[in-house]
This record gives sequence, C-alpha cells and structure tokens, in this order.
Amino acid sequence: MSILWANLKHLYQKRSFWFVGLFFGAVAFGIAAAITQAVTRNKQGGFSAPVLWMLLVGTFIATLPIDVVTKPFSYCLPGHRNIPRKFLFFVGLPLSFLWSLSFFFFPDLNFVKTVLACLSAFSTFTIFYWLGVWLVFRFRNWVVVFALFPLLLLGDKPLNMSVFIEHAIVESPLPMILLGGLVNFLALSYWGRDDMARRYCGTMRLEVFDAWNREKMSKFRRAKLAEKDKKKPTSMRISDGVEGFFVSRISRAETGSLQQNIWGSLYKSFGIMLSQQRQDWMRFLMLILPILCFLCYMPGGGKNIIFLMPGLMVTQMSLGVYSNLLICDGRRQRFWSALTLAVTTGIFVTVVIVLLAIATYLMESIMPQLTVKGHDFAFKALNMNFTPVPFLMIPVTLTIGLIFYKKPMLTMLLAMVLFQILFTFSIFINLKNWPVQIGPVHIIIMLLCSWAVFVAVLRHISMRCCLVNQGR
Amino acid sequence: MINPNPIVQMRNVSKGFGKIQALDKLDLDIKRGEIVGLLGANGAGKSTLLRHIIGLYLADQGQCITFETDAAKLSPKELGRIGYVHQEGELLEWMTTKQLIRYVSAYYNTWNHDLEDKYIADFDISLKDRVGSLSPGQRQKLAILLAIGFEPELLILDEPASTLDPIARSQFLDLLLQIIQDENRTIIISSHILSDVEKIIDHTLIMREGKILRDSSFDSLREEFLKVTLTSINGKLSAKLPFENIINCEREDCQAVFTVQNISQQDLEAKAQALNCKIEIRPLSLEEIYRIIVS
Repeated sequence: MSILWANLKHLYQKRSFWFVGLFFGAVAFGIAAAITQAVTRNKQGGFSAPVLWMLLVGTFIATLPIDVVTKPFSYCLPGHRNIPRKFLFFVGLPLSFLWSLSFFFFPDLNFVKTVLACLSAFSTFTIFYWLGVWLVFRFRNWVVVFALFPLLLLGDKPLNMSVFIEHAIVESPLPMILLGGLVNFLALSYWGRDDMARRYCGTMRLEVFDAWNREKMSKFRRAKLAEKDKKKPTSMRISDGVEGFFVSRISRAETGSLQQNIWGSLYKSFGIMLSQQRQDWMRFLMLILPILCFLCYMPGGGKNIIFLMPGLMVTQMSLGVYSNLLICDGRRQRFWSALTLAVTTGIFVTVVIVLLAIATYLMESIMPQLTVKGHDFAFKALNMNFTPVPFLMIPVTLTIGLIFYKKPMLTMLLAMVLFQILFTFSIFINLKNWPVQIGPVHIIIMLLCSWAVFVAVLRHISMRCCLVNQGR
Repeated sequence: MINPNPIVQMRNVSKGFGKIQALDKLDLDIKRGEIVGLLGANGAGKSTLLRHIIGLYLADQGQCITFETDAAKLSPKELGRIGYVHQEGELLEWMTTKQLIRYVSAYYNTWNHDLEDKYIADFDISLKDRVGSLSPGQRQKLAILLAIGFEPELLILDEPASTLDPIARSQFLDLLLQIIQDENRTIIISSHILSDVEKIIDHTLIMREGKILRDSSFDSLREEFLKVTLTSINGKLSAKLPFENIINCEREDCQAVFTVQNISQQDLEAKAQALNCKIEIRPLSLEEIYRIIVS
C-alpha cells in the first residue's frame, strides 16, 4: 500500500469524519438541487454554490494532513514529508473537477463558452478549496476558522456574492483560469517547502472536533497562555483588588461553610472578567458592536441568533461539580456553589442581552438605511420579547452538559439540536398567522420548568454520582 | 461492626466501569500514622481506590469509611483533614502561582505559612508565573504544596513524583521524610518509582485487577523474601540444593544465587554450613518483591 493511500484511508478511518462525510453529502445534495433549480427556473447564483462547499471541504480536509505532520513520529517516517501536498491535491482537484461539470448545464452557452466556463469553474473551486486549506494551516485553532462560515452564509444574500461569482466564472473565464493556475502553482510550492515538516512537527493544534475534547482544549489553552505571557505578561490576570475582595471573604467565612464555597466559586468564574481594564471592555465592545449592527441590518429572524448563542456557549462551562479535591468542598457544597454559579451566569448573561437590546432600540432611530446592489436594508432593533431566552436556555444546556459530561461531543450535538429547534421556533413565532401566542405566563412556566429540571439533575449528580472528571 | 481505630476502612468494596471491574470486593484497613505504599500496574485500580477514600467515587457495593464517616458524606470538616495530590494535577490555570496559593490557603485555618515559604524556596517555585504556563514538573510541585500546606492528617499522593526531575524527586522524598515525623499523620502513596517509595513506607498494598494481592507491613515482606548467594568452599555445588520454597535460581558450578520465601536466616545459615558453603543473605528490594508477588 502506498503512503498516500494509507493517508487517504483516514477519510473513513476517523470516526468523526463519518459525520463530516454525511454533512457534506447532505449539503452537496442541496447544492445539486439549487443547480437544478437554476437550470429549470433560470435562477441566478445557483451554479456558484459549490464555492462555499469547496471552502468548507478545504478546512475539513486540511485537518487530516495536519494531524499527521504535527505528530512527531511522522517527522522521521520515510516518504512522509511530501504527503500533505499529494493528499491535498488528490482530494481537492477531483472534487473541483466534478463540481465544474455542472456548468455543462449552464443555460444559453455555446460549446466553446461551456468548456471555458467549466475550466473557469474548476479554477474558481480550487481557489476556494486552497483558501480553506490555507486558513487551517495558518490558524492553529480550527474553531476560529469555522466561526467565519455563519458570517459568510449570512452575508451572501445582502451582498449577492453567489451571483457575482457566477458571473465572474461565466463572463470572465480567462482571468479566472489564470488566477486559478496561479493559486494552484502557489499551493504546489507552499505545501512542498523543505521546512514543512519541521515547522509543524510537535505543534499544538485544535482540529475538527477538538473543541469538545476537554483534555486537549485544556492543553491548548495552557500553551496559548504560556505564549501570551511571553508577549504580554500582564494580560488576562486577576487584579489585586479583585483578588483581595474575594480571598478576604473566603478567609473570613467559617471553614467549610456554604458561604465560603460560594465566594470561592464566584471568584473562580468571574475573577478574570471583573479584573479587566476599561480598555479591555472597550475592545470587547468594538468587537461586539459590528456583529450587532450586522445582525440588526439582516432581514428576517436571523438576528434572533444572539439570544440563543449564550445558551450554546455555556454548554462546556465547568460548574465545578466534577473536579478533584483542590479545596475542602463536600458534595453539598459543590451542589450549592454550582447552583449559585449557574444562576449568576444566567442573570449576568440576561442583563447583558437586555442592555444590548436596549442599545439597539436607541440606535434604531439614528442608524441609516443602507442600499446594497439595489436592496434596501433597515436597522431593526432586537426583539425585547426574546430577552428571557438566554435565562431559559442556559439551565437546559447546563443540564445536558451535566448529564453527558464525559461525552462532550454528544453534549454539543444535543445543544446544537436544541439551538436549531429554538431558532426555527423563533422565526415561526414572528409570523403573523402563527397560531400559538406566547405570553408572560407561558414564559414564567417554561423558566420554572427549565430551572427545576436543572436543579434536580444537579442535585442528583452532586449527591449520588462519581465526581471525577479524569480517568475512567 | 466496623473498628473505629483505622483512619480508612473498606469492606467488600466493588466498583465497575462498564465491563471493567476496577475494584473487586476489597477489604482494607489503614491505621493512623501508617505510611502506606500502594503498588500495582497501570489499571490495577490504585487511583480508583484512592478516589473512593475521599468520596469522589461511590462504590457499587460495600462500604468505605474515612475518619469514621461514610466517604460519600464527607463534609468540609473531614475533607479539610485530607490532602490529595492527583497525578494529572488539576489546578486553576489562569491564576498566578501566588494567587492560587492564596486562594487555596484561604480555605484552611491550619495553613502553615512557614512551611509554604520553606517549600517555595526549596523547590524554587516562581510566584509570578501563571499556573497555566508552568511545566509539568512545576505544576506537580505546586500541587504538592497545596496538598501539604494545611498539614493534613491524611495525605493521599497519587503518582506524586511522576513528572519531577531526579533532584526534585529527591527533595520531595526528603520533604516526605520530614512530614512523616509527625506520628499522627497517615500517608498513602501510589507510585511506580518503587526505589523511592521503599525509603519511606512502612506498609505495602499490592494490587492487581482490582484486588489486593498483598496487604502487609514492609518489614514482614522484607523478612519473607530473601536473596541468597551460596558459594561452595570446596569443589562443585551438589546437583540438588536442600532448600525449600525456592522461587528462582541461577547457578554455576560453584555458586548459586536464588530467592527463597518464608525461610529464616538461621535455617539458611545452618543448611549452608552443612553443605560446607559460604552464604550471603540480603533482603530483596521492593521492586524485586513486587515482581515476585505480581508474577
């Protein structure tokens, strides 16, 4: 068996890639349907849909050769240094070729133009494929790369990117072919460098599903912290004032009391955040405001995503129930400090969301109407009716996290399913003829139920289950 | 009826993880003031046993009593008497070393600041560094300080020296030798570095596949197994040696080296004299004893 073939086997030997395959298969099916619609109903933009697919495929496929080159054993393995390049070309080119064949069905083109369009499409698809691959090789945290995709998807409609790319493929085939040739040549030399193996050997990277691998995430975070400390030793540290405030309260409380554990739990969870300087908060605001504006300009119910994100983000939050004995906290103390932490987080997140919603209301009157490519986009404030959603969703995702603590992947999948259901629900609820009206009573009942279930599960786990997060 | 004297008592304790039986009907008493060496291969059940003692794991069957309290119901009062060093050293990564020490020490009235200062100086712990950026050895040193700083009555050390360099290991052993001067302190130490463990322990627990193969004092083990070098003074040794309970034997024409079990030194010397042989007898090291028992 050749080395390349052995590496290609990873595509099905890695269990996580079964999900990836399924996902891409389903999306490819959807793209095929979009292309069919483009042919039969003469809809624009459908033919360029594989661009995003190839970009995504690039980011997933690149993780496999990275997985091999970062493992120290492969550094000395004969014939392995050229494998990433061979592997990436072997997967990327045939896929791009297959998608480019769809341009044979592009309406109103003569034979020469069709062939040119196919070649142009092939080049364009490879460009996006290599972009995806490069992003993964460039950034060590794959999750950061993946976070770009929702923005790309949401941005496609207002900017009409798919139509623009389709036009470029069909109307300007020669520049696209030349550009594709150049990009492929650059890829050939970039992934064939002599120092490739040395550069990546033994480096810490996060791959496709590592975001849910607690041990690896913890190692990665440690490595990042060490790097950050070398550059700027004072960043993300607990300030003396915050430390003094909490530690004096822990010391003053009666040893082993609930009060002591609750102060400790709050210190552990919010110490860093409370220690941030004004400029750190400003930086955070500068990051959040453009996203908020983008969402508020987006038509439809897409902006509701902001109410659901906190619930999804706390899925991996550690409540301190499963931990080794660092301090003298018994099971009862763990229960109460975890509950305090969950409630505090819920309240804090809800307050932040309410403040953001109020800010969007204030901005609504001053933000201008935008016109992009003939489409008008008005700034619409966040719907205040949705502000209890984080406080409703947080206990549910925390409950899932508690139950499936040792299966972070399952936890994340379930949280995402819940996210999808609520997101769909939030869109339907906006429809005028939607039969179910949700009033304050319904919301209060749902809140009580979600928190009651969380408390019951937390209590059961704290008092009656094994509480170690490592080992078997 | 459970005897109130031992600090830890386990009766018929079983724990399974799926198809794996991590602890299998285990009975155990650990007396106050004992220094117990917990030995066994990877997966023998050592960490599982230790986690039952502090109540992090709950037994499927049987009872585990620590400080005369059901381990599952240990309150902060009892847990405040237990120091635990875990092999993977779970710490709060974003704090500096100094902040973490202050945070943990705030929980204990009994925190010994002199010991803390001495330990920091001896082990060269940098207080300004962030815990997350410490090397594995530095992390382990910090974890040990956090476990001994409040002078616990029961100190549980699960592979404490696995990531320490040779000098730090030797310092750690010296520290343990100081700690064990307190006769009321009980230490349970699980380690694969048997040459280190044998310098401090007075009791041995050897585990395999969730069962305790041997639970006896280290002195009695050293008396039980002896290494004998028998050298003939005149000519060759006889073909058959008149010793019982020989475990293994290597011999040449004039010399035989063998290990015996449960034979007194006097008996061995008497038989050697009868054979007109010179005899050298030495007790086995813990590692040699462990190999014999486990195999």
